[in-house]
Amino acid sequence: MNTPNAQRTPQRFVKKSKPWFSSNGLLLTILPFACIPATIAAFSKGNLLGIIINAGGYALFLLAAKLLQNGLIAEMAYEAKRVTRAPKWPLKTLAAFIVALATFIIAWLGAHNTFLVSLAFGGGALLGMYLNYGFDPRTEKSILGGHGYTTEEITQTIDQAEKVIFSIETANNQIRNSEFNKRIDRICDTARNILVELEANPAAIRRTRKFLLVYLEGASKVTAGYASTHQQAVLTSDLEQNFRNVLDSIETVFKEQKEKLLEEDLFDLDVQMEVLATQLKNEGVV
Amino acid sequence: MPKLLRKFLGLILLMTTIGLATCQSMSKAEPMPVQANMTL
Repeated sequence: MNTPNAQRTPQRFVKKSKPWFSSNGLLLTILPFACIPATIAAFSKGNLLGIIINAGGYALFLLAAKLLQNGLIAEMAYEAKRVTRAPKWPLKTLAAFIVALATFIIAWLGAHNTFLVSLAFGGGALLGMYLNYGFDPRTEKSILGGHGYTTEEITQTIDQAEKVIFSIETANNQIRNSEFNKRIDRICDTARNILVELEANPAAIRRTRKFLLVYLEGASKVTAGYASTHQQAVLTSDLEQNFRNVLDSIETVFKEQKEKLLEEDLFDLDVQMEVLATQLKNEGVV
Repeated sequence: MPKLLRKFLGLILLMTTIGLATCQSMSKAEPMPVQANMTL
């Protein structure tokens, strides 16, 4: 398949650093703080409606703060990825409407403003939420191409691979051998680079999926197996050497495959996959 | 509109509306006065 060079040699994706300050919905907990003394005052004066309005209003603000926090987290995850679906629930938008409703109710029934003035309070709060936090992203992020896979399938593949990489890293933490630790770290780095390539060029998904299934799963199983044996302290030099051989193969092949994925050398890739699959079987890994 | 200005405006609006509504509510957290019948 002819793909432009820009797609075949993408730049490494670097996540944006976090902003210097992010309230993460804390503002919605602090701003309506006057609701608490208002509730206490309503209690002391025996004003039932005041108690319900102020306590209920503050509860609504807290709910909105929680939804907003989750919405901001979902948005950060969305921004960090090149290929992904829009967040499932429009949490930020929902939080904005809840804030508007709570402000309207407190302004009308709590502060005894007229209906229209209270509506203006609610509308102002909604506009403030929109300007300060924005609403949720609703568009799917995808790179067009004739790869025939949906964004959901690509996202699932990447998520699944990230989980496997994480499990390899977890197993690696249990291994007390700096040589193996470094090698496994390098394998994980290369795997992450492959995922970056996949995000940039989803046309490679067919080959990458197969690659990730065979190699990454194999690397995960062999690392977890070694870590477990390592903890039981029944290591023999043969076992260590076997593990070293398997890591050697995985590491070498990972690097080669990454280059081949970029070169779109389909034939070589399939052949090497068969070779590694056989080796993993022989070593009793798969 | 620059993002910073937008956020600043949003913050002012939120502080005004939520802050004012809740503070007014605090100051009026007493039962509505019942109008006394002052007619003779």
